[in-house]
Amino acid sequence: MTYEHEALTKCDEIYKLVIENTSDYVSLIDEKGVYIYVSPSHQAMGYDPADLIGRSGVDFVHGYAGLLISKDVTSRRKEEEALRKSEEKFRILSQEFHALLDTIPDNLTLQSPDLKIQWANEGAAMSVGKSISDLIGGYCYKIWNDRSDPCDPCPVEKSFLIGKQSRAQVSTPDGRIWELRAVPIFGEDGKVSKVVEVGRNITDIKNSEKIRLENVRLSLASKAKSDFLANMSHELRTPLNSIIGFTELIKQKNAGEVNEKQMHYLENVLTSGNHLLRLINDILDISGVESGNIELALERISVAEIIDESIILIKEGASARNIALKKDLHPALEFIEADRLRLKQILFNLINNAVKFSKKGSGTVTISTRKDGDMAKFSVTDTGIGIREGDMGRLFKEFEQLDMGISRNYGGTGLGLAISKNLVELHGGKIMVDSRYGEGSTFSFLIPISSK
Amino acid sequence: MTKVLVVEDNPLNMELVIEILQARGFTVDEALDGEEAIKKAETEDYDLILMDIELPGLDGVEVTKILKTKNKTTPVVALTSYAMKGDRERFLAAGFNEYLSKPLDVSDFLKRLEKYKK
Repeated sequence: MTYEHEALTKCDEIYKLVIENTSDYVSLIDEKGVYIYVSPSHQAMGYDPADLIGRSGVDFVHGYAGLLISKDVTSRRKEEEALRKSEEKFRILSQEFHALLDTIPDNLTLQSPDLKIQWANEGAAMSVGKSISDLIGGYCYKIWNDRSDPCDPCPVEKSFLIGKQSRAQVSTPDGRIWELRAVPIFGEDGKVSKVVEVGRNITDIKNSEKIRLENVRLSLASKAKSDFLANMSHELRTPLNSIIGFTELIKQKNAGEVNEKQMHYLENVLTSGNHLLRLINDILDISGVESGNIELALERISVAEIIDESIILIKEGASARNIALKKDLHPALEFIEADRLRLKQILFNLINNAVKFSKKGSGTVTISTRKDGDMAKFSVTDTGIGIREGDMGRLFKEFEQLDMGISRNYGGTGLGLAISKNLVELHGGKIMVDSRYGEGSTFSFLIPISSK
Repeated sequence: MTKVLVVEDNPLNMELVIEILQARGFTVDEALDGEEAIKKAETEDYDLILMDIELPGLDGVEVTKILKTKNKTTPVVALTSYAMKGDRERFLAAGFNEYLSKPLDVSDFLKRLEKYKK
């Protein structure tokens, strides 16, 4: 036996061994379609290979000679059918699932270990005004935060690292605040293969929380302030009671005769005492207005009457300083709906200021009214010291008088204009000033003629 | 003779009220705190009680409530430095017959006392 022959025989044996042991159906047929060889595996189909040899195999093959290897494909067909069905089911399910994820307003992304976005929902795309395809392959820190490297902290990075959920809160440059949650997905090797990131826009929640806290802080501060002022008022009134009361008793000669000079001094004490009392009352007013305690009692008021009532309180002081009070009332504005006491207070403050700041002996204070659409306009014009342009802004602030000398020269508490402004605004109106330094000022306010 | 009990913890203000009242012919008794006021009102029949609000221990409102449960007829007038918006209403609602704020206007004070004169 040559080496070649031996090798061929050996090969033949191997083939035979393989063929006789395969579960596939192997047969050899001639050109007439007659079985020459049938593998033992055919027994599984219920045929005895010995019976098949010499018989025609036309049922199985179509007129050619050769080696036929056939397989039982029944179960594979079934498997394929099941697979097709399951794929179809999966396709529908996945479609539904995506639609569902797209309805969620939160940002959903699926990220690979290099933090590249592999999938994103509609919410994520919409939050940056892009399409889903723009997001895929990108990085969330670049898309949302315009950064070239991951945010610090990045919950996705952390989830990859620790294999657990992680959370973070980040602000994006557009001012939005996000609550981020990363959820790891594990691969077959037990390592984190992907991370789902859920980003929720909590800007509104955060802002309303901020506003709520700020309101609480302000109302606490305002409460503390009005409590303090109420307390201070009480403490100031107690000693003032003795000062004014005893002075009054001496003046009334309860303690015997009083000479002219003593009487003059007593007048001075009383004037100062009463000034102090007015200051305290003004403080109460401010604290009342600021804590929103003042409720307006609106009624129909004659404009001419209320101006007369306000002037009565000032007339004496004006004539003592030789300052003329003039009225210029427009007939179209006869009545107004306002709080009588408060309107009088505003007018008194403005007219009193005008008299106070007029040059002694030469001034004129004019009170005028006009109808301005639905609004009534009251103006008080003086020929006084005027106001510098730069000082206008400070005019209506509490405790502001334009220079330290004013309270010494002109008296007053520095609260009158602030109170007037608050009261005008409570009526739904506004207060204005127009002035030329050295020539005089006009203070005006507009309030609705009718509250309806 | 009209008998008045003045309840006041500030000695200067006490002296002032007593001076004013005595000059007008009132008979005046004084109490420096609420407990003293309650004791005095039990043993003496007053035509009028002038009550400060801020007092050591019981305050004027509490004292007045106690006095009113014992003797409903004696008028109690609040005489106080509490003069914030709403204080008048608060004290009248608490049972005071009248409310006067400090600092006192002496002539107004005397005018108001006229009606309690016997």
